[in-house]
Parts: sequence; C-alpha cells; structure tokens
Amino acid sequence: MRRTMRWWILVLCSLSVSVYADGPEPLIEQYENALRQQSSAKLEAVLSEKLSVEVTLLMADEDPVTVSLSRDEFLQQQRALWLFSTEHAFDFSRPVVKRVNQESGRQRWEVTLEQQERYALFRSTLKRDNQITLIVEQHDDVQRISAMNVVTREW
Amino acid sequence: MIIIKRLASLLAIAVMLCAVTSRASANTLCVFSLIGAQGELWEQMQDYRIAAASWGTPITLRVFTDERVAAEDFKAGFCDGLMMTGIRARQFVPFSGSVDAIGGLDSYVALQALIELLAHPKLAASLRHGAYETAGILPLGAAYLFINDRTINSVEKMAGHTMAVFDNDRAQSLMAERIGVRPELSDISNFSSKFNNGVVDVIAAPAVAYRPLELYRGVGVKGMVVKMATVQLTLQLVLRHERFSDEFMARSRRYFADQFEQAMEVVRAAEDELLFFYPPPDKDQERYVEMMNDARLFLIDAGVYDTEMMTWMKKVRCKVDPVRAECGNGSPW
Repeated sequence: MRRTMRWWILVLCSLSVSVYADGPEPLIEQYENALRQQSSAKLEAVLSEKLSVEVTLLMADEDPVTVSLSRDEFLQQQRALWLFSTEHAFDFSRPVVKRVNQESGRQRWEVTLEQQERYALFRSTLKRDNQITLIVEQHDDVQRISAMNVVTREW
Repeated sequence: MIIIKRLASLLAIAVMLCAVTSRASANTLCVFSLIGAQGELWEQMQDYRIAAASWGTPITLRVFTDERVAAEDFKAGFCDGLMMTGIRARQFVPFSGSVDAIGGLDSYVALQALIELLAHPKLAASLRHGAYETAGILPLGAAYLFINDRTINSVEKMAGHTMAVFDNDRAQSLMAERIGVRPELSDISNFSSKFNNGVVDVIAAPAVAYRPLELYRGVGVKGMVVKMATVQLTLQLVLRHERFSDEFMARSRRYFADQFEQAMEVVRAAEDELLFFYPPPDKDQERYVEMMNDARLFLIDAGVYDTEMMTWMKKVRCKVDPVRAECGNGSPW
C-alpha cells in the first residue's frame, strides 16, 4: 500500500514538472537581458510581430493618461532612450507567472513583474517605477511576448 | 611663325569668350539651407545641378542660411530660382505652397501620391503663378508638436501656454489663436533657441530639425513629441519661368518626384531618433484628428490656402483612405 502510494506521488510529481517545464521564464530572462545589453535585435527576437503595448502614465496631480504603442513604436522609443541616456540602470522583481490558456498547439501565460528604471539624460535623471503585465504566447514551440501593459510612475 | 602666334591668340580669346558666355548663360539657383553648403539637401542639389547640365541647362548653386534674405534676393532677381520651404514658397506659387497645409495630409503615402500628381503635365499650368513656377517638391517630414511638459497632454491644456509661430505663415498665428495658445512670433533662425531656453512651451517642427537644432534640450526629460502629423512640410524649387523652358520644368518636376524615397530615408532616420515620441492619448485620438480637419477648413475659409490645391488634396486623401468620413460628404475640400 505504501509502495503504491509512493509510486502514485512520484507519478503525480513528474506530471506537474512536465506541465511547467516549458513555462515563459527563459523568455522573460531573454527580455531582461535584451534590455540590460541595450540590444534592439535581442529585444525584437522576444516580441511578437503583432505586439500591442499599452502604457498608462501616472503623473502627480494629473489624471492617468493611457497611450497605445505598436511594436515598432515601442522599439523606437527604447532605442531612442538608449541613444540619449549616458547611464541606464534597472532592477526587475521576480516574475509571477500564471497560465491563462492552453489548447492544442498553443499556450498562453500572464507574467507580472515590477521594474525600476533610472536614466541619466540631458544633465538630469529620469526615474520610473513600472508595473508590467506581459502576455506570452507559445505556438508550435515558439514563445513570444504578444502584449504588454505597463503602468508607469515617473519622477 | 607670326601666323601661328596670331592663331594661338585668337584661339585663346575664343576659349575665354566661350567660358564667359557659359558663365553668363548658366542660371543661378539659390538654396536655403540652415547648415549652409553641406548635408543631404546640398548634396541633392549638387546632383540636381549635374542632372540639369545633362538636360542642356547649366546651373550654378548659391547657398543661403537665412531664408528671408534668400527670398528677397529671389524677388530682386539675383536668383533665377530658389529652393525653399513650402511655407515660404506659398507667396510665390500659392497652389504648390498650399501642400504644406495644416491638417492637409496625414501620411507620407498621401504626400507621395500628391507629388506624383503634381509632376503630371496636366497640372503644369496650375504650378505657374505670375513670374514663377514650381519645378520640384521634396518631403521635409511631418511637423510634430514638441512640448516641454508631458502634462500638457490635450488641446485644452495647451491653452494659456506659449507657442512659437513663424511670422511668414499666417496659418500658424490663426491656429494658435483658435486653440488659445499665446503665439510668440518667431522665424526659422530663432524658434529652436526660444524652445530650448524655455521662452516658449510648444513648437512645431520636423524630425530632421531635432538633432541639428538640439530640440531634445527643450523637450528634456519631462517633455514629449506628439506623434501626430500637423503638417506635411516640403522643400520646393520655384523658378522664374521665363529663364527655363517648359520641357525643363516638366523634367525637373519628374526628377524631384523620383527623389521622394531618397529624401524619405533621411526623414525616417531622423524620426527614429526622437525621444518621448508618443501618439496622443487614446481617449484624445479622435479629437485631435477632428481638430486638424476643423483647422484646415477654418484656414481655407480665411483665405490662407489655395482652394484648387485643397480640392486635389481631398481627392488624394480619399484615394489613399476611401473609408474616411469626409469622402462621402460631397464637400470639395
């Protein structure tokens, strides 16, 4: 009986490992590395061609403002920040991953994380706290970030 | 021996006379360039000079860094032609000078379609006005609003702030009054320093001005560039038509129309470097488009823009994007 129980526990554990073995964590790490290395090519590689980005900007004493960006617009902004900033530092929190959908050949996860950024620009400093939600989709063994929602506080 | 010497002297005199005659018959094209005899525009005009020579029309180029002075010299007859901004060209040829209309065209696809149209022989007569004729149009890039404070994120919030408006463009002053912005009369030589030094809060400028005029200093870390085309700016070559043949004019317009993509490479590279280059807020997108359309109609009624050009521009807008609301309203512009 005990042996049977142990055997079932082993089977169940191995199943749960195999279910999460192909999670989005490696892709998220690639995303973070692309930002650290200021590599547009590496950043493009993790973003879906149909990426949609929604940025909500929080400013003191102002109503939040939401702006939608296309993939090209998001990449252009990132490149411009790298071009003009003389220093760039950021920290990412540990991502929280939640599987939201799974059907034959396709999987989808929601990844939430926090990012603190600091840029030295034009003899001044731009600081941002970002609450980021990424939607990662896997189709035919290829994972890409398909949507990004960012709530940003700047100061 | 004496005969040979005399023949040699006559030959030398003949060569000199030919050289003098060539110089005398070569037309002088003046070119407005903020950065002088250098950069992409100057190189393009050098290429144009070579092309014109191959068409049997020698030209010499003369550069001006002050567009107002260039225009005065052109009027006074010291230049046979002038390459200038479309806004400046409006005083010489109102038809083509109205390509640079606020709310006129909102895409480069539409601008290219219009420039192709203007290179067609059937519109040649419209491009002549008095002593002048437009012989070529190049894109300079869309004019975007550069703002020094991201909290100025709606038309309403612009009211009460200060905007540099060009003193040679009545449209800008009228627009500023209409939206409640305080206009600060400026010109192309000083508008950027006013913005960078905080004298004005808002300017309209193309991306190609961003690096040369250091507009990123005015935007700083708290400003933004609104990614919405207010005007499609152009450079236009206007000639004194009695100095050039009709065939030359047609060839010249075709030549510049064929340079569109090359000119756009410069524009696109400049736009790729704009920092804090954001579309209007989602909730305001439709209102901004409406504002641009209303501005165009208001300025047409005020007599600022040529109505024939406005009619052609509407045809182009609706050809490029037939689902636009205006395309079924029966209005000519």
